[in-house]
Amino acid sequence: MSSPEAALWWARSRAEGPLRVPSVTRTPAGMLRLVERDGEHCWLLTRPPDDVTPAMLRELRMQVLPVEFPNETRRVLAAALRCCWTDIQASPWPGQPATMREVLDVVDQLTPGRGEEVLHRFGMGAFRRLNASRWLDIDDDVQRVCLGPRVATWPDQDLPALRELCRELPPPRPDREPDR
Amino acid sequence: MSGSTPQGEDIVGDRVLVGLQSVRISRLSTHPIPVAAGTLIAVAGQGPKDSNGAGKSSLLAQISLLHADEQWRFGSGAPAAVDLLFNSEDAGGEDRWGNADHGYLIGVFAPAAGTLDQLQACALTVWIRIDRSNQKGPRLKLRWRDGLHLPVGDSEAEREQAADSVWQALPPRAGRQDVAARDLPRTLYGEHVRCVSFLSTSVRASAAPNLLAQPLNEISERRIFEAIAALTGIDTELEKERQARRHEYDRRQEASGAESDLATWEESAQVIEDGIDARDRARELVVEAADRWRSRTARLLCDALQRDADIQVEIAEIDTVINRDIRTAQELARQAAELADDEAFTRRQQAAMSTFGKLDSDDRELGNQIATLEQQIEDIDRLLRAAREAARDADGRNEQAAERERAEADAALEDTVKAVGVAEKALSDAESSLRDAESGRDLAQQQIEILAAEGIGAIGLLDAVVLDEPDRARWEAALWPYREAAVVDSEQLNRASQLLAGIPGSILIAANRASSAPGRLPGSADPEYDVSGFLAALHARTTARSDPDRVYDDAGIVVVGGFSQPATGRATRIAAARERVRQRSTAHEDAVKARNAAGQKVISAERRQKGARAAAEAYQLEGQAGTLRKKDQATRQARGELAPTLSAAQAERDAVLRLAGVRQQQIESLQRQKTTLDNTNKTRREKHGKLEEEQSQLGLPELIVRWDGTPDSASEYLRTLPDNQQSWSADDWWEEAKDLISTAISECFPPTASDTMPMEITGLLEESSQRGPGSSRRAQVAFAPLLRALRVYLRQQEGTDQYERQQIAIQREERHKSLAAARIGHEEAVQASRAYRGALTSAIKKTLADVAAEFDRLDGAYGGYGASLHYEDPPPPADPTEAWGWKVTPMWRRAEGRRHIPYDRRANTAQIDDRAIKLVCAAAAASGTGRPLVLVLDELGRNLGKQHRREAVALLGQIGRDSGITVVGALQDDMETYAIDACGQYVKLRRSSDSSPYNEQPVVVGYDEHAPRVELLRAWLTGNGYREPA
Amino acid sequence: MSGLFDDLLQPLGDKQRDALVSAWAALEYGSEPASEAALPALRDAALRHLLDQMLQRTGRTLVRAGAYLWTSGYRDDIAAVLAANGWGILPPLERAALILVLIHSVAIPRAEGRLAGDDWQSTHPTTPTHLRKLSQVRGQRRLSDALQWLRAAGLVRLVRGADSEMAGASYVPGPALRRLTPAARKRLQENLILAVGPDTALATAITVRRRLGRPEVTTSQRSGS
Repeated sequence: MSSPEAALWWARSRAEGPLRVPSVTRTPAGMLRLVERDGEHCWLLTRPPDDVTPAMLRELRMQVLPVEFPNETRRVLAAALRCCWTDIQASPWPGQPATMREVLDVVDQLTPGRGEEVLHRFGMGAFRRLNASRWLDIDDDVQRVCLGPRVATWPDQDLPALRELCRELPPPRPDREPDR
Repeated sequence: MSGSTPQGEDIVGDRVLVGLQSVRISRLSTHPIPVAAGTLIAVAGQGPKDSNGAGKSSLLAQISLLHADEQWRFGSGAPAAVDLLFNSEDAGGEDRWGNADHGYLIGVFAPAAGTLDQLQACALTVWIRIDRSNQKGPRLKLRWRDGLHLPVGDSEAEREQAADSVWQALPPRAGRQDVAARDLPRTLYGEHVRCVSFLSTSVRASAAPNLLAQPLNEISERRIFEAIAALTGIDTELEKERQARRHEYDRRQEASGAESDLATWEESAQVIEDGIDARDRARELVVEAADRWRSRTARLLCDALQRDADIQVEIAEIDTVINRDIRTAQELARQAAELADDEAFTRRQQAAMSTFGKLDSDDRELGNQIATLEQQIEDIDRLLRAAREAARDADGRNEQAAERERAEADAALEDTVKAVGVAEKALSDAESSLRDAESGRDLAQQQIEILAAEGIGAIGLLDAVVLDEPDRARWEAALWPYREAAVVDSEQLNRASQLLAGIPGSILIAANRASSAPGRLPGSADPEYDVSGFLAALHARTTARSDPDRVYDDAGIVVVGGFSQPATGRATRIAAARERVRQRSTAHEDAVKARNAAGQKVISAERRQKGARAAAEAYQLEGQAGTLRKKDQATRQARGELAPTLSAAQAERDAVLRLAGVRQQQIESLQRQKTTLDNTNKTRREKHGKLEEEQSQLGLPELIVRWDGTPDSASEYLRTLPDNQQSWSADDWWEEAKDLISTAISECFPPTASDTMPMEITGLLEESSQRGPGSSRRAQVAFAPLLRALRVYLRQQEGTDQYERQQIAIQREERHKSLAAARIGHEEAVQASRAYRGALTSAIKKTLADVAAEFDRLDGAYGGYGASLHYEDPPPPADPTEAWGWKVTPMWRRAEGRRHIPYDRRANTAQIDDRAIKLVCAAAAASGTGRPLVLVLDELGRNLGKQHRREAVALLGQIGRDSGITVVGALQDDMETYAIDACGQYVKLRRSSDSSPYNEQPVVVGYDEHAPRVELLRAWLTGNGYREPA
Repeated sequence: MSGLFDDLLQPLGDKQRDALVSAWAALEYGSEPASEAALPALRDAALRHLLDQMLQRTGRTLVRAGAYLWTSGYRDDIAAVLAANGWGILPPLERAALILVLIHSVAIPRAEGRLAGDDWQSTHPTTPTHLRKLSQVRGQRRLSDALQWLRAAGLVRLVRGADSEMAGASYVPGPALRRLTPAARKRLQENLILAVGPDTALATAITVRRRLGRPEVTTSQRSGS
């Protein structure tokens, strides 16, 4: 069940975040394997005991490492979820790709009245943070936003609330540049 | 009651739940539900289709949560509690309703018995708020207040609203914050187990086994003990054992920490100490090396002194020998000088030499004269012979006659040469006329060529006319003036005259003109150029006369004719020209012949002239030859007379030369002897010089300075050395010193720390370890500074080293002390926990015996044949990190009078579930805590056969009365008949359709023999839609 | 469920399992060390031992962070392998900035006796003046990014108003450094000594011991979170 390799995989995942490896890699003990759409790579995520998440620390009134600009970051993640999680009866990961414009348009509708420049600057910062932490998988070159492997760690218990969130959020407005 | 417990802990104490109300929990309506504590409460459902879907499980889960059943995992914040909140998807109406973002569980606790006043005074309302999001803190929050604080309203909406405002009015209990899930069990019940539940998996999927949730036979003996311990309250005792073990563990960690600290510290201290030791050794080595170096200096000094004395002696000896040999050499020189200095001999020698020299040169002069004369005679003879030969050509003429004849011949030749030149000129003119006539360009040649170049045909007039013999006399004269004219076609006349603009005097005659023929005219030679027109005109102008033939022109011009050759017509003119050439050629040949004859005459005259001149010269030469022969004779005679004198002089000279050779040999011999002596002395002087140089290089003064004492003390020092070192050379001492210093350096700076070496030492060391010529000298020069640098370095380190040694010693002592103390502490802790376990063992055994007895009693009383518990003293934990592993094996008889069979043997599930309930009840009954227990059983009749159901329900109905246990059970549809007889309360949850989010008001039927409890709740119930019974 | 911990957790009751899992989360997710008072699994020696076993399986180990305080860190052997493979290594600028903070906030005060203990926590801020050289070499913008990154990783913490002279934030070592195991703390201390004073007697002793003893990993690896 436990092995030196598993220990190393876990430690590496802790140091580097979810690991993207070729699909031929054997799944190390206790890790979750998420195969990417193309099937050539998969993500390895650690499965904590009883799938406990950092959210539990709030119950203990303990601090987790703070996120920079938490509200903006959360808003962008929610908007991305709204755009990418098209079939909300299915699991959020991997979802469908969306464009940065669509995601920022949803953000724009949530916080109307902000200038395009501000929206873009905050949005890009949030994209960068979410991409680094693998909540989102962003391809800057083609302005594409996908949900990152971490969304697969959301417990089933939270999914109704997330679905409700998606139902409440406005969809991206088609063929309309955000506040230009 | 609860006054004795600390503030904020165990606030419910031994109060029991007498009523509950839920707000936005699942589909439950907000109607209060009274609880008849200590009875069996049957919960039934009536959904749109069957009993499911009415929220039975949610109600049971709520009761379980209110009683802090550990299944909820309060330590992690009871995350599953969120699933209790109203969820629109589960309610089948996500498009109609939203999820509830928060809800409340409200429980009313009161003493199990007492008067209404007492109950009212001691009632406690407990609120648990569940938030869906934990964004703003824990999801579960706990508030409470003495007395009844409950929402009241006529409708669901009102009650929901009321709930929110009552919650707001309740104070948070943990300072400004609310008590959260993890503190809920301790706060409400002080960690006492108040509830054992089997909850439907649809509500709560338990990962861990508990006595009711899992088939008993699948639970480990250890877990069974833990469950019993929790129910009976031994676990608080065990907690103390755990603390003792924890203490033991801490002490052990301290001891092993101190030990490994000491080891690590020793390791690093060892390195430092090794360094200090090495430096101490280096210090000794440095002292020793300095001693060796001093011995070397003494040895060098003594050796130098010895050598100095030796050199002195040697120099003195050399000086003596040199002086002796100088004297000998001087004597030899004197003898040589004497020999060289003989004046008489020298004069004789000089005289002989000069006499001989003079005579010899005279003789040679005479010889030269004779040779010259002979040469001259020979030359004249040759000339004479040649002159006589030439004189024969004179043919008898004398010189004057010959010269006159010659002059005449020359003049004749000159005349003939001139005649040849004239003839040649005439011939070449004739040949040229012939060539012109032949080419037709002798007349008007220039004009005809220009016109031909422009494509205009033209011919000379004389070529254009043909004259017959009779016409010649008249026409040749008439045409002659126009002999240079060119005939051109009359059409081209103008163009031709323009082309000839550059040649003034050109005459053109038109051809092909119509003529009025006056009579017979000469014919035209070329039909293209018909000149009849011109001839006719000319004829008309002229008149011919004869004797001589001539022509008169009307202009008064007379042209004389009579040409020997025909003047017109081409052929006739060429023939005439040839004739002229032939005549001229003949004339020319004649002239050449005449010139050749004259030439021959000139040659003969010349030969005769030369012969006459040679005869005169021969006569003159004969005279000269005679004079020269006489002169030669005289010279030969003079030489013969000189010969005897010359040979005498030669003999004298030879004698003198021999004598001089002997003398020279003697002198040279003497000089050689002297040179040998001089050379020997020179070698000696060189040696002398070398010795002196060596003496000066001994560097005695410097050595004495270096020794820093008298020379005597140096030899004295050497004498005091051990015998075996007496004979050591300076190099031996140097080797020793060098070895010592290099050992000292490697002690100070081991290869692993060579980079800490001071720059100065590194430099010196490098210098002294360089290879190549002079390496040893360089090493010796570097030695003293190296020694000094090392000494300085070691002195600098000395203070630190001493201090460090002290510090290490002090620390070592301290660390050993603290290790000893830690070991003692550990030992004491081991003893303490052992003692604690000893004391605890009997208490545990007693409790287990009580439970076993109760288990047996219950089994006997409710359909069994007797049961028991098997348990043993567990061995003390080998390690404080191991738990103290108590195990309990429940056993029961499978038939009357048979022996006890362990619980995990094969048996029917109904039996096993039955025993599980009995075991829980037994443990609760034997509990020393006095706290009432609630059993929550979803699916009351799970696995039970009909017979067993009846008994089980009877047991559950009875057990509350016996031991104050409240049993809440959900009924399957077919269980109602059994349950209604046995239960103290019946609750029916109702839901007729899915069109509304919440249930309808439940039906509650029950009888509580504790009337004040009913009274206590009256207002609450009636305020929320319940009616008073009729 | 094919978890890594099943065989450890299976025999436990709800309460103990709950205690272990919540303690695991507190250790692994918390930014600061967890207190024994809040977590029963840290109080009980047997549970704590189990907890350590759980951590060991994931390449982690229990680290004592003071009286009644615990956190988790990389196992020393695992950290060595991570560092050797370059997994999770700090980029050069981030590393340089962190080292400056450690030198100014810890090493120097410790050498001057103003700071006791070896847990790499400090109340002596590293001011913008201290960091100025780095910003001059690499540019203020890059340095800010690096510090933000370090902040997010818990390796440094912002303190305000420490330097009235210079604009910009001051920093002290972050809570992630408390995750260093004793061996890692020692290694860091020694590496700093070697970096700052390579020709001191202390450095000599370290060099000698390292060469004598087992070879230790000298690369400083990202030891935090």
